[in-house]
Amino acid sequence: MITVKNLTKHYGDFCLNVSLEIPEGRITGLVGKNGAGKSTVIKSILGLIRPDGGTVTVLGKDAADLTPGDKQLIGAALSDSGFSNYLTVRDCAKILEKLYGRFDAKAFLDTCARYGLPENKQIQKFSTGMKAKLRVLVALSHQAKLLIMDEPTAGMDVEARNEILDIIRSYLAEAEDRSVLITSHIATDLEGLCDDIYLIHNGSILLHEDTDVILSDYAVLKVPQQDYPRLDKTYILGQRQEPFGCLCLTNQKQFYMENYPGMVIEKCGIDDLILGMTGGK
Amino acid sequence: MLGMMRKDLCLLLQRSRAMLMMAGVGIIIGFSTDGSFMIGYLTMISAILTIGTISYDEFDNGYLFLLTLPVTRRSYVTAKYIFCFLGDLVGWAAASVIYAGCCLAKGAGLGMEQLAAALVFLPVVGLMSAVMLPLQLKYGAEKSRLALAVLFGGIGVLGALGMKLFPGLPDTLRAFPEISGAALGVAALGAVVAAVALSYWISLGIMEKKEL
Repeated sequence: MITVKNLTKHYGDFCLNVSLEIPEGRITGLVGKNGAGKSTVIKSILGLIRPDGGTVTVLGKDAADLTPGDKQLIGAALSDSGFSNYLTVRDCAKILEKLYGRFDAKAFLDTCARYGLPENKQIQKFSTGMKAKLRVLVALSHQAKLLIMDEPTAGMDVEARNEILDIIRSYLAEAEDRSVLITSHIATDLEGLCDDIYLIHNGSILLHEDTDVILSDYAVLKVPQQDYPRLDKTYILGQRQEPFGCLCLTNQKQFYMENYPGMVIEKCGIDDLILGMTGGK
Repeated sequence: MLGMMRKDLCLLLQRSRAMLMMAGVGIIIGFSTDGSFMIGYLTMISAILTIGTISYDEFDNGYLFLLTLPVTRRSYVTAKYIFCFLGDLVGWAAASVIYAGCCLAKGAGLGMEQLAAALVFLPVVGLMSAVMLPLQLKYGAEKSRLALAVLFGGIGVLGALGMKLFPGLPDTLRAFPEISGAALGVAALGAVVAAVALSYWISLGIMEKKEL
């Protein structure tokens, strides 16, 4: 569905240089801190910015050459951009009806009503959560095969975030060939949704791994200062200093469980992975 | 393209109260003055309103989202031009109808003179839109006003400079044989078509190069 090869883009001192692939039927998460380059990757895939180098292929075509017909198969939800705040949900339905051959206005309006989005209220009067829901529902409104979602849950409380993730899950359950690329700096959102995760930091991909593998094989080791010199560091991916000693990230939990029985070994979540790999606190 | 025009119509209708108020002001002007100024006033207002839809697209990173829809940069520009020039035409037609109504209500007849007075505003508003569209696309709502002021200021300075460098120019122009109204109309139409074509080409370039 999407192939990004050696994509480069420069903004002043910032340099993006990434390669990634999203096959058909796969839900891929792109995680990283704010400013890591997630949105730049998304914009490149959607053909909104021109790469300085490399290739971005979407649905078998260069992203810059996507036609309106190709875009009918793509649903996009961006965190800080959507329909004008002066429009209403009803207006959005009228516009989408003219844009997408497979858009069903009645179904869209019914879904909006089900999720508490009033039909005739201007979007500017919506809460942050309501605006985010509308952006996602718009992206899902036309039976897209490829969903590209940039921070769809940004700035929302946990209840609203779960609701949005449920909407996406239900949509994906309807057809197996649908693919999703979703970015978030709230990694827990992605743990229960994504098949695989790319970790981006300072414009580079630091890690690509299946979510199941991260959750089962990765771990955080809490190593006291005095034990650190004796630790086998072959499978240590990243580490940072803590008051008690050293916090180490490994992708071989079993190895350390067997060889260091007294060590505190904790399950690794995607947030731990980001912090461990990027040296954050 | 139809989707973008539908969006612009929805945005324009959000300002329907303002439009009705402007029409009311136009009717008052129509009754209180003898000339066709009212047509110019209402046509200019409709041009400003339609071109103003660009600022809605620009606001809150709107372009970013719009170009994820089945819309290319070229079709966005094409839709905007069609919408704005149709808006100009509809505004002009409505203003002309109000003008005709005012003329009839005041007991003045309707003839070729009134038609000519109304037609004069079409190339003017066409040229205005041709200038404003690329400026608004390039600089946005705020900066484009400044760019427009700089542009017209520049034209004024060039004119003054021309008069100073060629003091005999006005007499030379007056020496030309009188041009018929029809020829003038055709020339104006040609100038507007050329200006709109150039404006469209410039706007396409602006949108193609725009980094979002």
